[in-house]
Amino acid sequence: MGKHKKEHKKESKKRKHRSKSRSPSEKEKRKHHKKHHKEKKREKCLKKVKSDVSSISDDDVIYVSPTHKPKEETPPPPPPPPKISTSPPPPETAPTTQSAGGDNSLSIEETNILRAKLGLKPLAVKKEVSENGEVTIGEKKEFVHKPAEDITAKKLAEKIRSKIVERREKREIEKKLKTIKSIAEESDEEDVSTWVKKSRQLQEERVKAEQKAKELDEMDEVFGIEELVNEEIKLEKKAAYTAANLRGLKVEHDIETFVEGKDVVLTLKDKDVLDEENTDVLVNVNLIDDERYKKNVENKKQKPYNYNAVDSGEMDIDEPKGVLSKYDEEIDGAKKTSFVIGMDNAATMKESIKAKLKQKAKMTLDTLQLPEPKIASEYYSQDEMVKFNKPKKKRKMKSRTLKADDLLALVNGNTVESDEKVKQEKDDVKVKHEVKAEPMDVDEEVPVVFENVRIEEDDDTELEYALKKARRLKQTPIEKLTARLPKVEEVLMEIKDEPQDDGLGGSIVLNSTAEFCRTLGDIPTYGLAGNREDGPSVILDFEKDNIEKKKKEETDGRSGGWNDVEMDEKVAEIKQPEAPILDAEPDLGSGVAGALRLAVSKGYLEKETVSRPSASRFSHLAAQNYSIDDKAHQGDDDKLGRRERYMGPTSEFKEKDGYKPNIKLEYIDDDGHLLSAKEAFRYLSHKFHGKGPGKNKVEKRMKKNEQEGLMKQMSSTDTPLGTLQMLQQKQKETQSAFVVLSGSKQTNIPASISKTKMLK
Amino acid sequence: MLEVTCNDRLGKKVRVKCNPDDTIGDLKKLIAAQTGTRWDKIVLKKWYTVFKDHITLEDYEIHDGMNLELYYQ
Repeated sequence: MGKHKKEHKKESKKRKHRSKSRSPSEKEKRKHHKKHHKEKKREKCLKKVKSDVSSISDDDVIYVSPTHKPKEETPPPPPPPPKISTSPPPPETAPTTQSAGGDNSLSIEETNILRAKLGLKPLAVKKEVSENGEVTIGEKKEFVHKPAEDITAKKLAEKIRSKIVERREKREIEKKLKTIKSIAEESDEEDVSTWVKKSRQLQEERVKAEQKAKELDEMDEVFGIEELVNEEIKLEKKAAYTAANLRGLKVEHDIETFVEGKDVVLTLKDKDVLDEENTDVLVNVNLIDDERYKKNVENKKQKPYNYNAVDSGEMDIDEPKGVLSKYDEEIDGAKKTSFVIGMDNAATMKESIKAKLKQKAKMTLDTLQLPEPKIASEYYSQDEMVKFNKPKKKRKMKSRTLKADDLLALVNGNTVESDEKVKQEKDDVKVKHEVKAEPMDVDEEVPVVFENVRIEEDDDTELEYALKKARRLKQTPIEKLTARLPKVEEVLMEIKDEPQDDGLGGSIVLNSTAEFCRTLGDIPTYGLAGNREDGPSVILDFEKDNIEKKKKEETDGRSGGWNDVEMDEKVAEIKQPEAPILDAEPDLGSGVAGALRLAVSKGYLEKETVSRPSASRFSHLAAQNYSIDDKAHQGDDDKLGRRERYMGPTSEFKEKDGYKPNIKLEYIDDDGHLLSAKEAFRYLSHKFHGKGPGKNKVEKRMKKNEQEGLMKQMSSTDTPLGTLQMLQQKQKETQSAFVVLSGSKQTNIPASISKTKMLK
Repeated sequence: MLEVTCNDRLGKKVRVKCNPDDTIGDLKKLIAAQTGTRWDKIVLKKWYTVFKDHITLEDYEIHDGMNLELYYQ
């Protein structure tokens, strides 16, 4: 311990010395002081502890000779004593190296020394490599905040750097440029005189060169070289490619594209290297482009899908197109017009010209002028008529067969209608006549035609019929013309006459219906509608022509007397319904059934008609003032004739003076009660709105009705309890004019009465 | 190496550099060297644990920059 103390003392001495060396300013800035201190210490260490400490550092155990240290430490102590006196007192008293408050720490070296003194191993310090690359040992570095990299500054620096580089380059370029003289400088240098000199020199040189050439030529002449040269030139010329060489070459363009007086440069067309059989072909690039352009334009013009409704191959005859000709180009490749140089193209040219002429000839000129407007006529002209009638002729031809009569007719026809130029078959001629007999041109046609036809009237029934039909339509003129022929109406009447003649003997009955029918007679449709019983169609009439002819002889004498005949027929018609009434009597002998039938017919037995509603049942439906008049038997009508018939009623219309209609509207509700006007309105209103009265209202009404009913039932001469009657009976019983009402109480009175009643 | 601050709260505060395998006794000696007090009169405490001389700093888990209370006996 004593040794320790010693050491301690020594230490304190040393400390004193150190504190002395320190200045107060140094204390304030500790960092600086430390650094300084460190440096100093380092020096010290290096000097003093070099031998021992360095060796110690290697070993864990420190072998420090106790004698060694004091020895070394001894020299410093001497100075302190004098210093102590001079030095300020505080450090002396306080062995601490630091003033109070501030913490005190020793550097690593100091502590190491201290430790060595204490016999401890030195501090284990990790060696740190500082950023700068120098190894800082042990001591804790003061943390200095490293400012973040300033990007703006960096950028600025870079900018400046780039600017500098630029400048440098510029300078270099300028330097280079400085060596070259500018135009102005040059002009300054070169004078007019110098320029003249130069040009003169050039001229002289040229002259000299010429002279030399001349000399050389002369020399050549002398030696006969010129001939050789000429020959060579000739050979060259022969070898040259001339127009003759072009003969036979093919040019792949239309010959028309080459216009006279215009140069076209042709080049050899590209072709395969191995392709030897094909000869060279000349083309012009511009012309190829033109062709391509033309083709493109055409393609654009074409409609989608290349469809052309008009161009179906038939239209252009000289250039018939194949099937799906639009694909020809794709399959076979594009067609190209070409010609051969030197060959005589006259033939081809001629052909092309011919084709052109043909095309021109084909073209027909169309006038844009429209035909003059005409007023549309309702009738066909003569020419149109011929056209119009033609189709009918064909129809007839089928049914026709040639006859000898036809031929005869033809002869006649020819004589009459020589103006007809069109040649026709024999049948046709006759048909023509027939056609002319048609209603359309009956008026225009000359009757002679008919004469012609009528020759064969007997045989040709069809023709006859047609003629008649026409005549019927155009009655009057034809009637006169063919007086011999009977009128259709006549025929009709005559046919109808037949049955009448049998039934009734000659009596004439005029009938309104018949009259009516007579007026209808003029209308050609008469009889066709089938409204007649016998329904004689026109054709039938026609067939019965022969019969009519027979009849005609009878009626021939009186024209227009047919009216009477018709009357007869009508009468027959009326009489007919009466026939069943005059039925034959059923035979009695045929058993019970026959007897019954007779009884029924006689009216002994009533026949029940179930199906037919009896008149009595529906009599209430029948109009009361309506009576069915039999118009047929109105004598007035017959006398008045047909004119007056439609004049209206002859009697004047009479006003009914005293007529007062009795209108009574009665409403009955569901229960069968008669409703007053008020009630009826209410009832209707409820029905109309679909909304009935409320429950209370209904009850109220019911009650009211009930009471009303009671009131009606109640006798007007007696009280509801019938007291009067009872009184009267009592009086009868007692045979007195009075009744004694016994009992003082009111309630007794009815009791007494009831008593009497009971008694009774 | 670690540095421990010892404060007696009476005006003495020292920072001592030491090895973790130093004993508390060693630390006391170092403190004594720096403060000038006798090392056996020094008591080191942390809260109510009085550090014993023969135990190393490691064992007491004394790390760099820790504060130790410095008392005298």
